[in-house]
This record gives sequence, C-alpha cells and structure tokens, in this order.
Amino acid sequence: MTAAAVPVDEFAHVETEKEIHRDILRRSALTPSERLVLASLALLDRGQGTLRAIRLIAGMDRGVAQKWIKNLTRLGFVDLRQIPCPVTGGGVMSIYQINYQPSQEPPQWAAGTLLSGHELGWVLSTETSYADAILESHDPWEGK
Amino acid sequence: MDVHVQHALTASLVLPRADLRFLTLLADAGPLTAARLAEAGEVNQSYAVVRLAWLERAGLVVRTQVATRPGALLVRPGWMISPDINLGLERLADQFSMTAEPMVAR
Repeated sequence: MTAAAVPVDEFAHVETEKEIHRDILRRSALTPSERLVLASLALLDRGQGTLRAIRLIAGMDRGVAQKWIKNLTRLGFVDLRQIPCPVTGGGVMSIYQINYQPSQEPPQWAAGTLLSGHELGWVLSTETSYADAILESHDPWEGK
Repeated sequence: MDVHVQHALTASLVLPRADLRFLTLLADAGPLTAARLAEAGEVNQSYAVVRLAWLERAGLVVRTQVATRPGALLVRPGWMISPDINLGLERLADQFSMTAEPMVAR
C-alpha cells in the first residue's frame, strides 16, 4: 500500500458523529454514568466496542460498566450483537453498539429531556468550531 | 453534563476515523505493533506511525513491548491504551475550547 492509499475521507465521519452526539446530549435524563458509557462507545470506531473497550475508556470496573451497559441495552440506547471471536476463531464475542437511527426523532418518553434552545445552540455552535478546527489544523499540538 | 462525558464526546468528534479504529483495536486486543494496527486499520504503516505518535502526544496511547507471539520471549515495540487516557481526553477537550461557554445549570 502506498502513501496515496491514506484514506481521503477521514473526516467524513464527523457529520455522523455530530448527529450521534446531539442524540446523546438530548437524552439528558440518563445518569452521568450511563452517558459516560455512551460517550465511551462514541469514542470507539463506528460507536461500537466490547465491554473491555468501554471499561478501559470510561475508567470503570468491570462490574460497574456491565451494570450500566445492561441498563442502556434494556432502555434501547445500545444494541448487543454477538460475532464470531476473531482471536480464537471459536466461540462468540459480544459487541455493544450505540443504537442510533438518524431518521428517527427522539422517542416520546425522552421529549421532556430535550435540551433547551440555549443549550442546543451552544452545542451546535461549539461542534461547528471543532469541525473548523479540524480542517484548519489537524494537529492541535503542532509547533507547541 | 458530566465533564468526563464532555471529554469523551469531544475526542470522538475530533479524532479521525483511523484513530478511532486504533483505539478500538488497542482496547479490544491489548498491546499491538504499529504494523498490526496498520494492517487491521487498513491504512499504510507510515500513516499509522504518524497517527500513533499524535495519539501518544495527546496522551491517549503509550509505547510498550509486545510479544511476537503469546508466551514468546522475543518482544517488539508496540502500543497500548494509556492508563491515563482520561487525562488525555481532558487535554484534548481543553485544546478544542470545550470551556468556551458554560452550560446553563438546570
């Protein structure tokens, strides 16, 4: 593979990620721990990962992470999928993924938890500035 | 909003897809070499090395030794998730002006 093979669409995910973040932020009725688990999933590739990955990034003990992810799965914020284990070749591996469907409005039961206009405006304006910052300077540590 | 949530959300927004892939691989599979990360992340190795160095400076990953195969004595330079990843996320959030305007407390 040559240098030209570097993905040219490496920022293509930004729009989708923003949508995911807005959706998570809207669901402010969730506990801080539940939101931290969702945020940790958002940090992983395609918003999905194993319990181990969530635990490492959220800085939670296994039992605690398991409890919150189970809650989120029951509430429908997270989907559980089982895939053939790529390491051993046998058995299955559990993968958790943010249950995000851009075409859907937040569920009715979440309607009372939407951010106020001011808060949503803040979120959107700061997100735009992040995207600008990425495009202007990919490396914020450059030259420091 | 919980500050840790803000940090993780910020990081997921500003990191390129390849970086997110690397973090996922390191978190799931443990310490890996740059070559293995490049292969699994479907990018060329020089790009992987550059991004890993960036992630190291951001405090999200650290250098380590990786056994060439399970139980082997021979080791190679590799990478793992930083034990202080949350500190790295905090720095990243600060770098992208997360504190520009505080959220209104409700």
